[in-house]
Amino acid sequence: MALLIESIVKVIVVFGIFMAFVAYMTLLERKVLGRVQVRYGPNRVGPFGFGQPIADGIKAFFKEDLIPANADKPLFILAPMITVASALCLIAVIPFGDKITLFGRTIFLRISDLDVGILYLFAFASIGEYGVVLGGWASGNKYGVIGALRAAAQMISYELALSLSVIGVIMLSGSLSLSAIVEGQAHLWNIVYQPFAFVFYMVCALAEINRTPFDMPEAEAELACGYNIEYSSMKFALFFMGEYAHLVVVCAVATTLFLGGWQGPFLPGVLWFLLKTFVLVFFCIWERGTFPRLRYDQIMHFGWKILLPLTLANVVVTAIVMAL
Amino acid sequence: MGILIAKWVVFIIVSLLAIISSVLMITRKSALHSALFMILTFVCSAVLYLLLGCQFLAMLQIIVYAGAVMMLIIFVIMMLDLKKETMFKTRITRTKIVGVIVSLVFMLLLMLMMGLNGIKGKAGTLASIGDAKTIGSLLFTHYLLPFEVASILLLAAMVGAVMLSKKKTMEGDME
Repeated sequence: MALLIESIVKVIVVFGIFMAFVAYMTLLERKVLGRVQVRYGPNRVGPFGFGQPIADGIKAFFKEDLIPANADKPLFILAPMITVASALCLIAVIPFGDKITLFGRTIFLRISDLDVGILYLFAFASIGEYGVVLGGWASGNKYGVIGALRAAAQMISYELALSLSVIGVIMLSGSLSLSAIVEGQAHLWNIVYQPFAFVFYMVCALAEINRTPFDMPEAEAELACGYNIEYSSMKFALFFMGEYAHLVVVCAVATTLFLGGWQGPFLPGVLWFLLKTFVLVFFCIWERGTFPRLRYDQIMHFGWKILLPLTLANVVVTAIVMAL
Repeated sequence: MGILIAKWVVFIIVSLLAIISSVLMITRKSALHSALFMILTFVCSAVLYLLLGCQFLAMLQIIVYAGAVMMLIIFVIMMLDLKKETMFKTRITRTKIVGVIVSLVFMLLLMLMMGLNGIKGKAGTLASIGDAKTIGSLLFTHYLLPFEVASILLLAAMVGAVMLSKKKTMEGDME
């Protein structure tokens, strides 16, 4: 019974902090992008615009919810839910701190410690891709369908390189469990052993979550927002939330796999984890303000002809070095 | 005891869901809806693996079948943009007759085999089979030859597919 209560409390706290992180990431992104483009960004709601995410949420609630006449209605409603739900499921296996003692109980700071944590991440990430693809298709709009097709092709292509880039880390730690991987980095972070894998991971992850420079599925200039073109009101907000939640999860996974997770001197583990994740999230916003969008054929060439061989070579080299 | 009952409840719900979704998969008019119900069936079987304690197999089931394979199928369906009317014909064609005969024969064979041998072994957790380490060591020791042969077969199929799709453009170049 105590275990059940502990689990429920952990889930509520983690999801609350996670959703707050996601909400304020939208503000951070608008602020930072504003600064990159030499303007202020949102600063009207509350001091420094801190009320902006809440105002946006309330606005999305009260907007009219439109469903196009030739849309596939059940799928149209289901698609944004899939995106958000899969992103929320992903956070469940990420260890965000060491164990603490509270009321005489030892509490491990993670929701669940699966033996196959990394595979769980890949499984739910691949389920989450259906949200974007189905959303575009169910809109019954040609731009939506093109966006969905691009999303499907891009995700299939980059998923291979993404999994291959992580294999080096799995080989080093000899475990699929995320907490074992974090514990293996107590002395030296994996990024020292696997610097190239880290770069490949970040590139593939940006492509997986459709972020600039790989945001082909929603390229405004050519597809007029692509897969979410027909979405309005709360459904659009859900897609938006799912996108940012995926971004936060991707950065949290990178922290866990390559940057030593919650390990660090002086500060408590949870703070280290949040700090490292925040740095990566900031990088993702920064690069969005810096890089132009790639062309579609360039993305495909880059994925199959450059990233895939390089990640394969990384696995082979890691194996050889470990065997020596 | 409570956990055992909970497992039974989950098992019954999930297996019912799997059966319903596989029936729906066959009867939907839209190809995309069929594909989605197929994903649901795969996810349900992954949950069944989990109930047996095979975490590794369950995750692979979702990654490979529900994730990668079905994404490719959905990609092709969207690419070809099949219309509902063309998909659903009530005419009886030769392929349908052959299909019915083949599936009936297959079902009879299956029932015959089950009747002859029965289903042995007891239900329970098979933690040692679903473990990543066990599968890895078995694949690279006891089942090394079948494993390598299967990988060469897959490579051959891949090269064959590339050749088939490449052929047209090569002819076009020659003309």
